[in-house]
Amino acid sequence: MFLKSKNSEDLSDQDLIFRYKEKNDPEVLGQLYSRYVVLVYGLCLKYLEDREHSKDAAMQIFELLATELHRHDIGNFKSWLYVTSKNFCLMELRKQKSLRKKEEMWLMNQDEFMENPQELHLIDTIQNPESDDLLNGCIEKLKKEQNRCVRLFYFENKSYRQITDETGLDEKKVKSLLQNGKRNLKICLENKHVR
Amino acid sequence: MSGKQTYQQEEQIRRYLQDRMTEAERHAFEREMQRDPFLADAVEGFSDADSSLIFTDIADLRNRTEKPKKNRKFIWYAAASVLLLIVSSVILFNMQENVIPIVSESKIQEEVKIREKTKVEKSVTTPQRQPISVETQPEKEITIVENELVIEDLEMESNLADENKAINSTSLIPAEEEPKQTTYQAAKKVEFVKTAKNTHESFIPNPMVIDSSVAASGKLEKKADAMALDSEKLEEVVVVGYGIQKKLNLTGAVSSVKPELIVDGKASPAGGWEAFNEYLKTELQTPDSGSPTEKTMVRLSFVISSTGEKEQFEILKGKNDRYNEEAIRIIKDGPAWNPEIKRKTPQRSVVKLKLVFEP
Repeated sequence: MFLKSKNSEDLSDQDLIFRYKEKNDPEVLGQLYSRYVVLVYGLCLKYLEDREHSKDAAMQIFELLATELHRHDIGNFKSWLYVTSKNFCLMELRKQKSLRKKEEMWLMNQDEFMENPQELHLIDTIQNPESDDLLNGCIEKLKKEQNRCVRLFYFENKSYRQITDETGLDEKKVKSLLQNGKRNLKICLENKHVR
Repeated sequence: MSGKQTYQQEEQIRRYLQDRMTEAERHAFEREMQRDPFLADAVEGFSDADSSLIFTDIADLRNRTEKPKKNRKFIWYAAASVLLLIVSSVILFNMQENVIPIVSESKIQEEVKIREKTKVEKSVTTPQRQPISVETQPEKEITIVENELVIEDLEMESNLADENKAINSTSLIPAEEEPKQTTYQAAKKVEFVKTAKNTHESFIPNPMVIDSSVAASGKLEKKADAMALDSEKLEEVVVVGYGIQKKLNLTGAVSSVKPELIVDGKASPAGGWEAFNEYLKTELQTPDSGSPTEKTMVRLSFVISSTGEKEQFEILKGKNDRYNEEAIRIIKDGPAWNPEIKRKTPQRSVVKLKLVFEP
């Protein structure tokens, strides 16, 4: 038993899921979930903004896995769990009328969230973004603040905090500038490829 | 993501939130977050909350999600403890067999009874053969045979009288009193009579009289004990006592006391447990008869030597002196005991008894 749990440290998510489906062993499920419980809990905190509520949600998502894993053929467990957890939080928010406003805000950003997490942005994947002409061309076309933040973050390897210090912008503003900048870059790159 | 990576990432989150990273590390982690929206969302959630509480929450969640594992362990513990309980109760049960409960232990009594019966029946089988052949003959002849047998018995008695003058006087007189006696010896004899009745009635009164009268006189007890030590002699005696009537003119008492010695077993009162219980019931006197209120229990132990002597009386759990003395008295005055037999040789052994004084 101890040998098994030692080995399972090195097993992939897929192996664990396979094992769980085969033997319906709650221990295996616990091992799998423990890899992501931090992320799920953090995610719940982000949306539910309440520790106790988030803990309950994290437990309920765990219980959900026991049945859902059998029902779905999961290719990438992490991104599946991400979407499942977010949907669960959405349902929780819906239950609470007082949080309706937040839910609306959340729904406004829905398209962004539903982006396939596995489909990474070009700028996050290539080794030397500076040397890519196409990318550089698009970055030049970005608005001034977005341009500056993307350059500082991707080319000068500055942390959010350093960028905040340098630009005098709020850290959340920096993050959203990066986010929007990346989206514009993507659109720009796709257009260039079409041409 | 493997298990190891998870813990590394958790540590990174902790350090990021607690601001223990270098700027380069911060940037690397933020790059990671750009690639991993799940991580980014989680960190965002954490950064708005109290970081000291978050990690206790996570530990708590880990415990709860890995709970099935603990449940399993619990089941094993439960199984182990149940097993332990069974084993210990078996051991306890075996230990209790050494303590011989006199009152309300019908099981042992039954066993003893069965043992006695089988012995009696066995020993009776030999004389049985004779009557069977007799029964097929006409009635007249039977009476003749019976007469002959009676004569034979009378002869036996006279033989006995000649040979054992010392016993002679006592051997015949208590014969009349016999049926009234309620001692352990008598009880056993009654059983013997019952089983023997089927075979041949005319046989019974005479050997029985000889047997019990001698036993009641108690004069041959010591002799019997001495003989018990020699198992070969003993077997001879048994054959004589129960098997062939003609040799009944030997010591009859031996036949009543000694059969038990052949079989390996614990020390037991001569005459069997049933008779002994009966003896206790009738003879046990509650000391303060003036105000008997409730059941009183006295536990005592004593040693039965290899020759059957009762010695080293000890009160294990007594009430007061009067009760304790009565408990010892009733054993001392009671029937003789057969020593414990192991591999056909008598052994010194400790007997524990529980005496209940009824109000």
